[in-house]
Amino acid sequence: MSFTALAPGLSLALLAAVAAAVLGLYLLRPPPRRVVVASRLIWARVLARQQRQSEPWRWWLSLALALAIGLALTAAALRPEPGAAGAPRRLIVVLDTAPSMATLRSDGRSRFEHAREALRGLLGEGARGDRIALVDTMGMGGAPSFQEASAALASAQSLQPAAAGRPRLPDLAALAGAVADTPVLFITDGVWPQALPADARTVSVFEPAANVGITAFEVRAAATDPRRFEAFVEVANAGSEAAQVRVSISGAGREPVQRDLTVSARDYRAFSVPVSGFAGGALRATVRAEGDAFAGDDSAWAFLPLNRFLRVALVTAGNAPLERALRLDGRLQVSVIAPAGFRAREGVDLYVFDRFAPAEAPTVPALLWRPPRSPWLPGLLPERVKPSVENWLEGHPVLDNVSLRDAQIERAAGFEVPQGVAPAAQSWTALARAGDGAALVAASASAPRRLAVGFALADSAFADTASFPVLLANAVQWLSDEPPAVLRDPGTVVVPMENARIFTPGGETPPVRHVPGATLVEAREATLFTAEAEQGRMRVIAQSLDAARSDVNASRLQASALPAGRGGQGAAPPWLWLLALAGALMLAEWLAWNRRVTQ
Amino acid sequence: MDRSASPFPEDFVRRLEHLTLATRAPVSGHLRGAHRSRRTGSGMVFSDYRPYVPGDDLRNLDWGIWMRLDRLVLRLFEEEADLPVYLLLDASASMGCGEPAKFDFARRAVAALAWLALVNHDRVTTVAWNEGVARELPVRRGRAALWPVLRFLEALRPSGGTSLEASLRACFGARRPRGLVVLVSDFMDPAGFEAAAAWLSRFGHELFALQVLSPQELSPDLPEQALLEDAESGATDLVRVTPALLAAYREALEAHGRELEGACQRRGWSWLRARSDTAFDEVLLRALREQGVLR
Repeated sequence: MSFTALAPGLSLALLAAVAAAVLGLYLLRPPPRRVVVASRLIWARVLARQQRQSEPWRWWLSLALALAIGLALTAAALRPEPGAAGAPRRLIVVLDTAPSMATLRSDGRSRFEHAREALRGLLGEGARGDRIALVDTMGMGGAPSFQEASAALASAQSLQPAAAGRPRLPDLAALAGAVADTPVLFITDGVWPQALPADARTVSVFEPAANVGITAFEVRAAATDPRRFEAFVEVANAGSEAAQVRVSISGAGREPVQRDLTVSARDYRAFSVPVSGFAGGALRATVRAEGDAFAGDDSAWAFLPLNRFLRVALVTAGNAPLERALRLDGRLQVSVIAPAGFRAREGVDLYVFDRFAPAEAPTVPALLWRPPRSPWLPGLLPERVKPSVENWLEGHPVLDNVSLRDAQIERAAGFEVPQGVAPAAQSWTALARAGDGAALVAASASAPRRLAVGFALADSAFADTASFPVLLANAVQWLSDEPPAVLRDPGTVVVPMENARIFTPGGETPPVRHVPGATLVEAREATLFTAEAEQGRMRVIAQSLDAARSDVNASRLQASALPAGRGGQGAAPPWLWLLALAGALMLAEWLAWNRRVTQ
Repeated sequence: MDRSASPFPEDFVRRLEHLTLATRAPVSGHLRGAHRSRRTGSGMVFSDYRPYVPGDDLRNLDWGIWMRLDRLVLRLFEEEADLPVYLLLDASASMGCGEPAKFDFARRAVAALAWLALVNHDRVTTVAWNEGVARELPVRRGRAALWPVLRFLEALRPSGGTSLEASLRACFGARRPRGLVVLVSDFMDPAGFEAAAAWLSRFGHELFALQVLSPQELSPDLPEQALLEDAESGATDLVRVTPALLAAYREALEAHGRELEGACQRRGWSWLRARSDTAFDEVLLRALREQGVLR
């Protein structure tokens, strides 16, 4: 036990003085009053039975009670703290930085601000030389270590509630320098996935709050018409009262779509909104409600495909099966061009070359069936007769659900795509090879993408197999469509593209860090990034549509009415306990002395 | 007589007269004007006949019966006798305690009892005692004897210790006629009451014991720590006064009273406890009517 109000020596001297004063008062009690009674006859009988039995220990008991009361009151005034007197205090403070800590309390300040203030108050009461280990529950503060209270406060100032993720109990045992009996203090709102340690002191900053948030936002094509898109929205109300909610979906190309709805207390509402009227690109959903205390889940992003109608130019001297298969795809607008009249032109999203290849590479993706030699294509090997496809990359999107075993190829030209070379080291990748190793299907993922097939449909029975339309649809999808947007949690977002340039929806370029194989960018709130690199373009949506995150009232703690967040479960300071002890002893003294229950 | 500091104020005699009137209705009892002896004797009231035996007083033979029946029959009369009343007042130092003092109340009570006896033509002997017989007023009869009794009582001062047995032995050592003994005391005798009562009962006296206690004795009002000093011996006891201690004291006082009452009841005697702050005539009326002192 150490005292924070006075130096240890002075504190002990004061306690000794109080004890001496109490003892002196007992010894200096006035002499008893002399009372003349008619006779001792009755008194002698009583005293022989009672007085002499109880008197000595009652006096000592009363003295002990008076000493204990005096010392308890004095010690409480000295503001004691656990720990050896004179020794620096060691304390592990776990500061909750979970997303729910950003929730505003009734005074307009967030739970995290209250937590920081509580930490300031706590460390401010400490003595010089205290060693504090500050640990945050989201792992944002780096490796914790025991440090001066001022340094711990500075560390706390740099922390903010995380934008996403769930808090986790730090591994306190692994904390450097920690010993088994080091007290642990949690400053938290109690919105934890698991129970808090039973032996830890807890300072609660929890206060019930109203919150309406988006827990799902997704754009998808209608099942009946792949050119029509709908947005699925789910809104949750974590508050204790029903909320009037306005949901807005905004994007390029038209006015925002708004929906007003009522969400019952602790309930969900879901609905779909047609979004085909928007131009492609980022769509943002926002939710507004009266008194909403948590902004982290008030917006969400989705990506509406840019090219919902694909303009395909089929360059062929005549290939009915191919043309018919292309026209069967409702998303495609097919035009047929004779090779002789081919020239690069605007308004084409995808070329399909049938036994033809232009001298210059087109600027849009291209699918080539048995192309002739061309400088922008891999070299051609001598033609093979009845080659068999021995192996192919089943995991590649182009060959998904495709079998080339029954293609019955009469003639095919292989591509010069070396085996045993890493795909990243060359621009073309062999998707299928003949038995002699020649690449029969090759693809280039560099923008614009290309897919080359070494045989013509007329030289095989492939057009009659079930795999033909599947391969064609896969190829068109792979060549023309943007890959689905990648979902990431807010915070430090890992974009799986090396040396990528990152753009925000507003066209700004946030600071990035380049690491091998990825690019890192910070997202403090839900947003949509566009990443561009040599290997193409990627959409990254940084958001956390987690219903658990929106439930900011799922606390394991009682609400704290203290503005500074002091108190809470088990947070009573020692001086308060000492005051309570003094009160209890006074009651005992009153009962023993004034009420005289001991006699 | 200066009545200003006297225990017998101006209205004392008036209250005695009132007491006389109030006790006239229930005529029976020891303290009455014409006390009937249980013995047959020379009284005027015919009681019964019985056969003559040698030695009987021939004056009481019924000669008419002898003439008619030739038998000697003796006429019996109830003897009318004046009652010896012994008023024994405790004059020990303990009786001077209390507010009002127990001794003043006791003196008034003795005076009132003396008056009732005197007006009924009883022979009244008044004795003040402490560790023995302190003073004695010889036998008096008649109303006029009240004044000597009052003067005797007024001159008394409480002093000395208490020894009831020694006092009774000194008082009744010389044979006295059997009568009514009225003992007014606080009965704070360290030797107890039993031995004295046993000794007194040997002489066939009847006893009316009136215990006088002060309000301070019944409900002590003491500081938390008190040095109790015995008014008679001067011995002291240091006590830490607690509710439990006071309760035990009250219990012991009640037990002491029960001892006295039990000793009296076993011998057919009367016992009454009185507070010194009550009116003496009320106490006596209660004693006369309820306790059966006047049967």
